Amino acid sequence: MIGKLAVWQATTQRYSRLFPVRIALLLVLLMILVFISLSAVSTGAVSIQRDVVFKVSIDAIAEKLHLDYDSSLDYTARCLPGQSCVQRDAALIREIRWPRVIMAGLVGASLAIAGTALQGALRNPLADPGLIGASSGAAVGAVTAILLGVNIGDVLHSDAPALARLTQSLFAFAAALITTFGVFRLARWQGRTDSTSLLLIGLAINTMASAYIGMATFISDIREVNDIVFWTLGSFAEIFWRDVYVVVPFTVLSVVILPFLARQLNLMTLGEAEAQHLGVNAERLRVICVALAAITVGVSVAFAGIIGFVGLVVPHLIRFFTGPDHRIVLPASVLTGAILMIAADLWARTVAVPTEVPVGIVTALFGGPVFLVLIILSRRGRS
Amino acid sequence: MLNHLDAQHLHYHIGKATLVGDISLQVNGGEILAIVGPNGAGKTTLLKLLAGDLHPQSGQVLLNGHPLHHHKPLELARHRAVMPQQASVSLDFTAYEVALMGRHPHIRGSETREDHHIVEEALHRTEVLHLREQLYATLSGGEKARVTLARVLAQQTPILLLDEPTSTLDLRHQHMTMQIMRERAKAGVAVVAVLHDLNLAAMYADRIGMIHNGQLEFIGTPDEVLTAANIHAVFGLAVEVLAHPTHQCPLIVPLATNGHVATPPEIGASAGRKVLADQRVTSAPHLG
Repeated sequence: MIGKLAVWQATTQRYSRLFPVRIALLLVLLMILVFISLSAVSTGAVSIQRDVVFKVSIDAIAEKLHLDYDSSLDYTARCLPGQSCVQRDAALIREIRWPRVIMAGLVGASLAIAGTALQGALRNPLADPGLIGASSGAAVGAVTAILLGVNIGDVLHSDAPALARLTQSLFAFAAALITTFGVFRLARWQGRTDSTSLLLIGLAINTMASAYIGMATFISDIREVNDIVFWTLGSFAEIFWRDVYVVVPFTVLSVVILPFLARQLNLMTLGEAEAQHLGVNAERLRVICVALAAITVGVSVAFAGIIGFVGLVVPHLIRFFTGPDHRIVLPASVLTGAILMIAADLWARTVAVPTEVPVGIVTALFGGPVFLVLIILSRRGRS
Repeated sequence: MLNHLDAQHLHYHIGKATLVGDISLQVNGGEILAIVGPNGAGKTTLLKLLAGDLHPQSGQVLLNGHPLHHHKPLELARHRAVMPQQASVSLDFTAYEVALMGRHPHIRGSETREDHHIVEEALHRTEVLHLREQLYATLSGGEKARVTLARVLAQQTPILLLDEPTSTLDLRHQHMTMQIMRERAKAGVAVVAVLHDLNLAAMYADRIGMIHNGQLEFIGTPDEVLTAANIHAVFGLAVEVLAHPTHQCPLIVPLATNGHVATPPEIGASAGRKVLADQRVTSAPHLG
């Protein structure tokens, strides 16, 4: 009897220790995220000292918050040709580097949390935001806008190039939502959604989408092909604050709502009927997860193009280290997705200076082997 | 007692195939009702109707006087637990984590020390506490069933619905499972169990419902239902019903002659339909 009690207390203690361990993990990931962000901002065609980056960033935040604060930097120093100066560095950091790094983080976080939620809600470890049609749909929308040459600028009598990009983004976002909704609607049968047919229908739609994009590439002229490649391979080039402001609310929506569904997602692994027996409205949970994934990924793809593998690999990577509990996997995948995407973009824009490698190629290049290793390692761990 | 399940004229069909045709039955707190019948008779469908997984095309199931679908999923989960035939888990949760999922309907926020205690108690009762740190997916079929049983017990509901809880278990654990059900019934829980083993049903059930072709052919005490004529009529198998040497219950022994154990069922020609409308109502639990 005493032995039994000891066993019980040991288990309870083990599970009560879990919480601080998880908080510690999230804090470590957060520190890595801050570090890699600062590194990414300081690295580029023009290299900037990390302490300058830090000070300029602090100054910018202080300015935004209207804090009474004396900067240690001299913004009035004269800029000489061929030399770095605070004024020029500050403009680069504030208007070019930070928006790009933050956008990479937001898109990485969005793809990763959407992938985690979908894999849980659809009970399928292969589920990926790309597989339900969000990514390919967005690309089809953007490519259509490019082919038709539509531009809101024409209506507004403005020829700002940003408006052409914005038009493509709007087309991409709308098409992502329509495609995902279509996939979901086709998979719904007699009031419920079958996960397997959802993924199969997504696969079919994706095939059609890539045929369409291939055809579009084939008939386009060189300039249009460049635009299409941007959408299908992904890039964070030419991202500014206005783009970041659009994406932030959507990412925040997923990051705030989904962790509340973590325990329900855990129960879904038992099976849909079993989750229902334990009080989960499985169909509603699935609709929420697919809708959030479609919106968040749709808006990400609308600005950064298709970036594969992050949504698929990050959840597997996290589960490999933490186990499958969504209460830790969801927040950890947000941070890890952001970290990996910032790192991938950093590599993409520095490896072949002065040109940039599309970031989607980088994520696939590293994501593929990592995924293979994970599969092999977790197979070993099981036997 | 707030644990009363009342199925009224349930009818469920898919296309032209009638899976459950006009079944009515009641289960009260404190009794075990065993559902028996041949493969494809509609036992699992009936259980799914009782659980609220399926909605009958006509008829209804009342939980404590209110139709099932009037209850929210979470509220329902506090009233009835369901043990499935097989339970797979799609991610690598440990046996302990799977059993802890049974506490979900009761947990607000995060699980408490008491939740852990209930889960450990349940795992101990189903004799799988030593497996708690193992991955559920790596357990044997019988071990999985016992962990699932622990999860169902940890849900602490006044109604238990079990679909062939003993089918993957060894002899000892079959009886362990049924003894747990007896304990739960004694504590006031209403238990409905689909069983294949008629002797197990005879030993532990208060009442037995025998289903054939989607119809409730017989319902009553084991002595009333498990007669050689009834079993022959429904299962198409010649048996002899003896008295159990130590228990007050029938003991069914299949008879094999010349290698033929099975003869085609002839419902009309045999003992006939025993279930009458008034009998359904009067066959109340014979427990104090």
